Amino acid sequence: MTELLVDRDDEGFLVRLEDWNETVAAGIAEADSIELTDQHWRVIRLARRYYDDFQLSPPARVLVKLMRDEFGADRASSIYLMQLFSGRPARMVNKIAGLPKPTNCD
Amino acid sequence: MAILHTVNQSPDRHSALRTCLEFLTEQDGLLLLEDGVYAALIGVRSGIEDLSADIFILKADAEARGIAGRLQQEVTLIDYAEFVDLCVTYDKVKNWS
Amino acid sequence: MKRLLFVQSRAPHGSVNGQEGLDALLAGSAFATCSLLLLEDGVFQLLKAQDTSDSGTKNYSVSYGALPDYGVEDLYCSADHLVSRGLTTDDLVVPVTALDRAGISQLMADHDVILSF
Repeated sequence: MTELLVDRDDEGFLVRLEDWNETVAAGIAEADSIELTDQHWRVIRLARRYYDDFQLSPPARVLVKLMRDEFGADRASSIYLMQLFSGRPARMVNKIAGLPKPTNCD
Repeated sequence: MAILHTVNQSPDRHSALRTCLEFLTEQDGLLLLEDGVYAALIGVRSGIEDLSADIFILKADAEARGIAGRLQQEVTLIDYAEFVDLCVTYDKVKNWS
Repeated sequence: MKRLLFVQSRAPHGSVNGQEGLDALLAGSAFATCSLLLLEDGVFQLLKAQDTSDSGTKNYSVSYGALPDYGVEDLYCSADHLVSRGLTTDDLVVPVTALDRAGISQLMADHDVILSF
C-alpha cells in the first residue's frame, strides 16, 4: 500500500486542501479499497470543479444532477455512484477529491 | 489630545457609530473596521458625510465585503501595519462596539 | 411539503450568522421547499466583488450561486433596504426579486416556518 505523506483527519479527509494531487487521490482511494478508473476520475474532476466554482462539496443529489448534465442520464444515478464509490458515495467522492466533508450528504 | 475612535459595527444594526459621533471632535480620527466599514458606502447616510475629522477604513475588511470600490471619497484606506501606526500616532484609542 | 423561509438580516464576515443561515438553507433544501429573504444588512450577503484574501474569512458569497442545484429558486430581498444602502439588484451575485412591504408580509404569510439568522 502506498504511504500517504499528507495529514488527514479522523475520517480520512485532507487537513489541507492544497495537499491534493492525483497520487494522493489514488492513495486515499486505495486505503478504502477503491481502484480509480476513468469513470471515477470523471466524477472526481466534476466535484473539484464544483468546489472551485461554489466553495461547496457537492452532496449526493447535487452530484447526480451534475453528472446527468455532463454525462447523460445513463451515467447519472445514485446506484451508479454507489457502484463506483461504495455505500456513501458523496462522502467518498469528496474525500478522494481532497475536498471538505459535505455537511448534509447522502 | 487626539483620540482614535474605532467602530466595528454596522450603522444600521447598532448605535456604536451614532454614539461615537456624539463625542468625536475635529482633531480626532475615526477608523471603521469589520462591519463598521458599511458606514462609508456611497449612498448610505450614516452621519460621517459631514465630518471634518480624518476617516480611515481597514482595506481588508472593505474588500472582504465587496465595497472597496464604492466608498465615499473622503476616506483613507489603510492596511494592518498602518492601523498599528495610527494607534501609536493618536494619544489614545477608544473602541466603540 | 413544508415551506420554509430563511431570513438573513446580518452582514457577512462580521458575524457567523450568514454562513450558518446558508448552511441551514442548504440542509433544509434536502427535505423542504425553501426560499431566501434578505432584510436590512442581510442584503450585503449577496454583494458582488467580495474579496476575502486579506481578511481571514471565507468568501461564501459564491456559494449562493449553487442554490438552483439544491432546488432553491426563490430569492427575495426588501426593495427599501436595498435602496437605503445605495444598492440595486444588479449589485448582487445572483438574480433576486426585490419586494415592497406588502410583498414581504405576503411572503412570510405564505410559508409554514420562518427561520431567522
